[in-house]
Amino acid sequence: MRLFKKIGLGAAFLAALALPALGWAADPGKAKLTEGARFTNCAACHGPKAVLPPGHVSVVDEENRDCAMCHNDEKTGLRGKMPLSHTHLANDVACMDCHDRKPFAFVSTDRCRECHGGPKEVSALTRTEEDFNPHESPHYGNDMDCDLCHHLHAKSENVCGECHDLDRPTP
Amino acid sequence: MSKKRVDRREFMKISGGTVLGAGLLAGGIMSGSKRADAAPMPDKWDEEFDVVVIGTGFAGTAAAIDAKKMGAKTVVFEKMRLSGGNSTINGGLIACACSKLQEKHGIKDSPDLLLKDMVKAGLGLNNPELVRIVAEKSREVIDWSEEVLGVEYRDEVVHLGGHSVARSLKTKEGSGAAFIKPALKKLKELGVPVRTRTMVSKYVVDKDGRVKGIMIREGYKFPDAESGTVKYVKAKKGVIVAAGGFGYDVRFRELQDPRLGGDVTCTNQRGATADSLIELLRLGATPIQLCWIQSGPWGNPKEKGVGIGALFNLRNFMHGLMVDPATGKRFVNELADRRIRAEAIFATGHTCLPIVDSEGVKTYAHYIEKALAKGVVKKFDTLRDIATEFKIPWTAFKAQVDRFNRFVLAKEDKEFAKPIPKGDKPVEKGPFYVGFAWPKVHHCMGGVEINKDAQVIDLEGKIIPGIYAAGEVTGGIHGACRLGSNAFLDCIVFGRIAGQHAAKS
Repeated sequence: MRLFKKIGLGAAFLAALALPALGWAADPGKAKLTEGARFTNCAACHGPKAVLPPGHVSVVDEENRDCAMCHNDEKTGLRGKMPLSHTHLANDVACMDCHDRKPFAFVSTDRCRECHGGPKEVSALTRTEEDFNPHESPHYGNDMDCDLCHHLHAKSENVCGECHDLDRPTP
Repeated sequence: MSKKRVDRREFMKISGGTVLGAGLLAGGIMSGSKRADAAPMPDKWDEEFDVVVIGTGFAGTAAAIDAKKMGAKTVVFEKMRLSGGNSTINGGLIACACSKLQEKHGIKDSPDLLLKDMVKAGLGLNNPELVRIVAEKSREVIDWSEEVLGVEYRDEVVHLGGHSVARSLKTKEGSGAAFIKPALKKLKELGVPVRTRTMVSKYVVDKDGRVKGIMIREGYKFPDAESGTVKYVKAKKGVIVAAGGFGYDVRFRELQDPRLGGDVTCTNQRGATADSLIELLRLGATPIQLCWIQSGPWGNPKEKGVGIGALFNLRNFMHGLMVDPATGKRFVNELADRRIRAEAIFATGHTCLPIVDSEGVKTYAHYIEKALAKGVVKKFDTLRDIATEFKIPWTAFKAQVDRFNRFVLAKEDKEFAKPIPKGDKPVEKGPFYVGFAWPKVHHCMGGVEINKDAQVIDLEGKIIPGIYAAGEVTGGIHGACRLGSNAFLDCIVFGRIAGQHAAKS
């Protein structure tokens, strides 16, 4: 398994997380998950229909792998708009790196922590002066399952946001 | 997955389709139960416990702690991924008659007065035996929460609507998590497994009518009723249903009260649905007062759920006045019970405005800057500015505020009989703070019938053996209207009673 570095996460991942969100012009539709998923092979999951808008640079080219090179402002940022599988694939983390058996089963939070660190490290990433910290909940503590909010194969959601207003999008 | 059910074909194969087999079939042995929709008796249980608790809120955790402490092998199942239900997100207020804090602050109270307040708000629909139990045990609950769980309460006593005196204690952290977190920790220390993502789908009932166990779905993904792996868990002494209310279940609540459709928002978490209640009703439990569903009058439409906007309104009702912006006048006792206030606000047809001044806002000092930043409370230099902003008829509004202030000084509200809190001052010193009030669905007073031992009662008035219920899933304690901070109290009272009785049985 290729690991991220625990500190200094993959550049594309970090950059994508730092930006606010904007949806694609094209609707990617319902993807069929497959072990053959590769960041450079949209059709493996999305089928033959194009998912990138016309004129989009080819993501097959190595130089275009860092989405944040272009998606780098409030209008174009991708944070919270794509299932996190894309961000992981962009950083060479493939299906079997998390799902260690077939058929693919629920991945426990312990697996996420192997790369992303434990509750303290994650909480430190999202602590700000202006807003509450979604990783330090007065109701649920700080060791909730990551995928309560952060979905790999669906759009992420904000569980705190069911009751509270949180200005930051959820990657 | 091994086959647990003894289905008809299997049985016929074993018995050879004999007269005996047919007779047993006719007698209902096949399903193991006379109760409609019960799960079939498995030929083998996957797990066995003495006491099975459903739900991880106040009632469920209290029940499990007491059951285990009495020696019962106990497990708790929670259908959602997060424990705590509505309890862990609540405002952390619990009613107590004759608390040490009341004594410290010179407030005279009694369990009889609490009982009287509950019955008055309940319009007398309260089950007399059950409501008395709750009123009499309030001090015992506070002492237990402090001694067993180390819960800490703030040095103040809050006066909530419908209570004759200030008697609501606030947890130090400000939410029910101050109870739930130590309760979950205590369960871990006691060796009681708490299993999330586990839905209790059906009860397994024997031919003698006793609930013998449950059918669960492990790995359940709310709200998919078919998700998860089916297993059967035996409950040798009893099943305790502490599954909460159905405030978030628009379909079921609208059936009971057509005014509460999807356009009325809700303070509850998503898991507050009617599934567990429905299973109890399928078992034959008597439904009590299901249409009495409470909307919280302090709901602030400028935020989701119950946030600091609602907390402001709650404080404001104590120390200020609320006006209808269309008339500039008060229209209800700001400290009436929730039903009276919510219905009065709904009747105006629009958001109403609770108002305090710089004196009245002091008890809310902790939150005010954040509330202003979020826009759930607005600040004005003068009353005239308020009238201008909200297009309130100025003459009527000014006259109303002056009148209200005379009542505060005289300590008697001649318009709406609001009990003027001790030490309150007139609303006259700017800046002024204005909240927004539009009710949100909050609590289900109705539920299944229980007796004083938390046993569930069937439609013929008989105990359904092997099953208990506690907390919001039960009905008859609060009647027409639950007083603020009484749910926390009721849940622990009957949670503990259920746990103790189940363990003893």
